[in-house]
Amino acid sequence: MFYKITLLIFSLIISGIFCQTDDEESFLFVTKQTVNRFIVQDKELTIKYSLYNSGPTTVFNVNLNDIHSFPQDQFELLVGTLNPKWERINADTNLTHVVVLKPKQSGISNSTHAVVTYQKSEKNAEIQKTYSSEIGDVYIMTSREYDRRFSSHIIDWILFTAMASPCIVFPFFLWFKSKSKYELLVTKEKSAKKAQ
Amino acid sequence: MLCLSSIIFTFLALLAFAKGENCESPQFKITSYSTKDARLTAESAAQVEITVKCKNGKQPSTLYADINGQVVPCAQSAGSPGKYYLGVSAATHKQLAKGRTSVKLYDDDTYSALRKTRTDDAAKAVKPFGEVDFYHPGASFGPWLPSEFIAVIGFGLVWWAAYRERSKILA
Repeated sequence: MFYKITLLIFSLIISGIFCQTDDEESFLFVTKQTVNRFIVQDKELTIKYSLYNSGPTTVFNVNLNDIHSFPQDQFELLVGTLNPKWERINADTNLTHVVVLKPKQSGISNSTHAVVTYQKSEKNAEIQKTYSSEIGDVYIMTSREYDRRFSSHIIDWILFTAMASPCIVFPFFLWFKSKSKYELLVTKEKSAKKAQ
Repeated sequence: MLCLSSIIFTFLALLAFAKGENCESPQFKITSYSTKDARLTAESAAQVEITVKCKNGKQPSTLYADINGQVVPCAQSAGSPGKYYLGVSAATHKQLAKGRTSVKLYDDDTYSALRKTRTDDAAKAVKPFGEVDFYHPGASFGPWLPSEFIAVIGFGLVWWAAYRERSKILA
């Protein structure tokens, strides 16, 4: 009796091991990141999707859908597409897809996972669905806040000079007038003395 | 008899159509984007959108691009066919080469020919489907001299001239 049970358990374990090694499956890992340090309203927001095929086989018919994360009324699509597809991704390759958006509103915005579907083999039409990583809650600052820190402020300085110039130019003008009158007098005296 | 001949005929017709699938004398139009503001972003990224126009109206089913020595498939838009996207990312701003980068494009046939080669020289000898290049102007870190610096220098000069005249008068 004991013999039979151990044989059964042993065979179950062996079959378990064999079942695992029979299936050589590839997995597609997708990460979604932003390269921006700050997300600013009306400035470019670059999203980078990295797809990595870790497995030993090629995956087919890869379709990435992220249209739901960036609705048209809140984000304007500048470059790239939010729904790219690849016919095949070879084993052990790393792919990047770049999308550039422009946020139209400021405040806190949440962006969820992108949905990626792919087929593990060309013949098997079974679709595997996987989710990318998410960026989560981000704060979109207004363009005024960003400009306060980073713009070149040249216009501000020009305005400041224009407003400060009466304070400087008016006394300078008085001094210059009296100086030129004094120098004129001195040269007149000198020439008069020389004539004498 | 008729059934068999019709099957053979459709098979041959399919073959003929499949052969005509190849894109002949392609013309490429590219729109490229690359990171320009280095203070807003931590890394650099670039995206090239390639529109392929073939003489016989067919579109290559997959387009592969040789970027920085690595051959990757280009993404296609599910919405609009004929547009292929190639994304490049760099870990630092300096790693994305400034200036013109040439990208070789391969379609299915040329890509399989490339994969069959074993040596680097043979790989270089494979004639690519096309070649495009994109221009990266470099990511800027902002103005060279901050405007506050220039303002301080300017007002400092004015003050120094006035001080010189004042000491002349007082002396």
